[in-house]
Amino acid sequence: MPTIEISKKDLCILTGKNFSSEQLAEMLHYAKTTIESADADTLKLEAGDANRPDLWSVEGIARTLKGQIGKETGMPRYRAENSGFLLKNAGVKARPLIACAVVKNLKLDYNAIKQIIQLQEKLCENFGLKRKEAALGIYDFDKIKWPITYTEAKPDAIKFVPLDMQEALTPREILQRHEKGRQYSNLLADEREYPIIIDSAKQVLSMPPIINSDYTGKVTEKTKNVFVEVTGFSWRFILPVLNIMVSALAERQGKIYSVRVAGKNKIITPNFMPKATKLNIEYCNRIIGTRLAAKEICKLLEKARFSTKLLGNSIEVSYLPYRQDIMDERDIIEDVAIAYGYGNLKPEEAKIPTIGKASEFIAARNKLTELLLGLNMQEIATFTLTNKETLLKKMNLPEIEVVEVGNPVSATYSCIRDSLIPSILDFLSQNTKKEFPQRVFEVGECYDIKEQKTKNRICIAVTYKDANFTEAKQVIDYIAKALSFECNIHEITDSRFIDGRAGSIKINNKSSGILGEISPKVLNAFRIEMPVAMLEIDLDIFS
Amino acid sequence: MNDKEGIASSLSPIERKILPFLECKNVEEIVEKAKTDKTTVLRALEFLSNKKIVELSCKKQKNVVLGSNGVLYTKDGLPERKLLNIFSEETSFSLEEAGKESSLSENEFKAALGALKKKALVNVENGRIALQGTKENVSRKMPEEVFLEQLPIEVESLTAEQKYCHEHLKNRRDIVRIEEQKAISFQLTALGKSIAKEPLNSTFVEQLTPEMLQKGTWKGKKFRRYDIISRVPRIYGGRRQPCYEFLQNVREKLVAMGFEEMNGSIIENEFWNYDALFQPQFHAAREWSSTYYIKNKLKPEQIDKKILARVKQQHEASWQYSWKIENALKYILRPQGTVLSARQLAKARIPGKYFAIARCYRPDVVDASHLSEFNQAEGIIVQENLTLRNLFYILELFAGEIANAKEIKFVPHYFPFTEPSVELHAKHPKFGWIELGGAGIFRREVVKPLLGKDITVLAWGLGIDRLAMFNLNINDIRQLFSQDIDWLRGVK
Repeated sequence: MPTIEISKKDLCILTGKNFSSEQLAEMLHYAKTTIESADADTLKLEAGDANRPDLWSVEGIARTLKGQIGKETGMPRYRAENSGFLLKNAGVKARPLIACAVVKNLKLDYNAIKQIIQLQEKLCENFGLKRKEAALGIYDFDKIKWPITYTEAKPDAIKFVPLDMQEALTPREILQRHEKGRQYSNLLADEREYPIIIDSAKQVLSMPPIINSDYTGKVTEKTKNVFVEVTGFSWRFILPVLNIMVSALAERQGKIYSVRVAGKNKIITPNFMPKATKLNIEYCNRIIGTRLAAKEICKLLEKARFSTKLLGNSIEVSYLPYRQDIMDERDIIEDVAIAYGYGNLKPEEAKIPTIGKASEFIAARNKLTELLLGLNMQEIATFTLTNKETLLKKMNLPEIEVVEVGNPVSATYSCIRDSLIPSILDFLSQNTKKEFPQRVFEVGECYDIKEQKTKNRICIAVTYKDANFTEAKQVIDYIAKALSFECNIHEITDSRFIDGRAGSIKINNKSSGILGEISPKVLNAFRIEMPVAMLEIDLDIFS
Repeated sequence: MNDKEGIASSLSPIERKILPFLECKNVEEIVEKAKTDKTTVLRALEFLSNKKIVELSCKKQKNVVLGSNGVLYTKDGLPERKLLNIFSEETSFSLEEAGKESSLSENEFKAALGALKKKALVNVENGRIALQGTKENVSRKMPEEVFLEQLPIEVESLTAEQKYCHEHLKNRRDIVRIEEQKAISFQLTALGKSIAKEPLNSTFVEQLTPEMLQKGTWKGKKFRRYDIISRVPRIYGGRRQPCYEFLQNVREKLVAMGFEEMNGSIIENEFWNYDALFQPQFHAAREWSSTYYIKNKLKPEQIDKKILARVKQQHEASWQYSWKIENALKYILRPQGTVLSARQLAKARIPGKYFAIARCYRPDVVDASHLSEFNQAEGIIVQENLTLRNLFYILELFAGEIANAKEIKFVPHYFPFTEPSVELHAKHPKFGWIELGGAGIFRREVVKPLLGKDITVLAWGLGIDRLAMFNLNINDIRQLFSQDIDWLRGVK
């Protein structure tokens, strides 16, 4: 979930209402946002809706709150004025599509600029998948000579001063030396020519999706008019990003002008044509569990910034394209419920005749646990994630296939175990200075790579100065008798155990486990200085 | 039993053992003279104190004790000793050679050289170290070495020479440190003195034996009186692991509420975890940073062709991209319990209530609030015409039954597979409003492809590990998987 910072004062000005801190904490739920921390005027918010990028800036939050307090309801009235601004797409292999807008008459203060930069960053990182699907650039309109060209340049063909630097660099140098260049160079890795936006005075505006130029691409408190562009591969990402940014600027009283793109792609943006969908009144009430009249639903929708028109059994609901999340009636129904207030919805019991049942192996597990607790054994919990060193090397096993994670965060947790024995030895190795005897057990999951199956196993360890095979065998005999299954032991050779003191366990004639005294080589590897006898059984046999 | 004889008859073997040595100055001296161990002496002293034979007093004192390097050095020798040892054959080395020969770290080498120079045992000139002292001087124990062997010593009773050594060593890394320890001192009481003077009658019976019972030899014998007040050695019973016990309690409550348990593999494919739950293949959640991917080549699952076709169709219609089965068949470590709900939904009975308590995985760096693997409780309720208010009822029930919460609220939230969605918050007496779990009504885009028709499915998940932490009153999530047997044996 994205986290954003806003100024409380800025929010109050944009909403036109002075909220107390308590009011605000409640009101922000309407924008699916929670306050993580507050420091003087700065609020750190967690944006709870990963699919509502329009709520990732103070302007979008203000738009929502204005509706909920009744200050401004219905669909916002954003309009894009036609203009002669033209951008020519000359064909860019690395990022083929571009869409643009111009916003004028802005009064940008410190907070406004902070929000623009933050929204740009969140849109490109989170929604635009780390700039791959959408990269947004914003420029000082008054420094640009129209028309503009979106084209490509060879790595060493041109030079310009990128944002936050003093010297002119070639595109190749930017990818190598600029912080953003290094961060996003993978997006242009295999390209022979790089995307460039250039105006008719041959000034380079930017090198999408990497960096703007320092001259045109810097927005300050002196900036009155801006040019915005978004590049990428698919309109599904590009258009919402452009629309959400421009809609945010519109909340700051910016005047919006459309820009025509010609050449390799043709489009006039931004587009504020409302989208419309039908909401069935009965279905809406059925999902929420209410009996709201059509008019009431309309009123709630207007508060949620929709425009409505009653059509008999249904309501025609209109909204602006910044609501790119709406796919189904349900998305609108949720907004009705939120506007009604989750707190006003009284919980209601539904009669659902079902019979509860735990997994089959749970009964066996509970029985075994009871028996082992009766033998004074301590139940423990270990991780299923471990590593090759513990699974194989310390266990004196050859290099056999174990399930490995392709992207481990640490080497300690890089494999899924195939047995509980290493986990429990690891546990014992951390308790060598504690009181003995130690008798421990765990029921846990392992992955059997041969059968490609997760298995529940029980593993028991006994360790103290006289721990031996006999005790392990006594335990399995005791369990077998209590659960009345037939159990046979066959001698085996296994490098994890002392030769001549290891056996496989057959339960009801099916190979189901292993027991024995752990080899001193293994104990040494775990730095355990007490003999250990163990047994491990599959719980599958009980289900 | 205040009389002398009564008391004398209640003395246990260990008390008798140390009684003759109570004139000693301290516990250590008794240990040595009575040839026993410190625990035994302390236990015996406690018994004797209960019987008013000795008076115990416990005072805090500051002791000089060995630090972690000190422990090492008393075993392997101080760095200055190691440096001196290189002069067995030759009497002069370059600084570099000396460093190598003595195999000391740079810091140790510096400290050792300084110490030896001060003692005039070596001399450094033109980058070479030369031995100065006589063989005899060199082989004699240095005062510091003697001092380390004598530790622990009470700070106040340090002799002048010991003080000098302490001053020298305390500035070097963790050789010695000062520790506040409880020191037990004891003094015979008047009663004690008179008992100690008399010869001990040792004809008391210590342990009743089967033989004595068979032969009747116990008759007319006196049994030694036990001090039944004093402490006895601890024993440990079999205990459940507290987190697992909590999870089992949750399981039992859910079963009692009519939920049937679902089971699945810890290794899953993306299809059931993402595609079936309507998360498009380009979704950020499917990136490496939020899911563990399996490196091995595993056999792909044979998924029902009808379901595959319906999921593909739904994704392409809603998200407008070309859905590819190859991306769906990749194996991952189960990142959420909801994958079990998706699998169950495809074969669910209607009406049906299902739950799972599942081990899940996320590539997080392990710290006090994150684990790489954790437990989640999840479930679904499948029936025609269920409502958001019905879901709230279930959540309210969970909050009361499972989390024991008195005050709750429902907060709008987002999950990719539910609409509407809600988060359940509860008021905790100490931490204020906390999040208990998330829930919602499965989107039609999830239900229709899996079930073949549109039915309301309420889905819920509870942050069960956090609930376990509140229940056990712990702040560090790692403690749920505590590897400390003492904690497990003693936890409330």
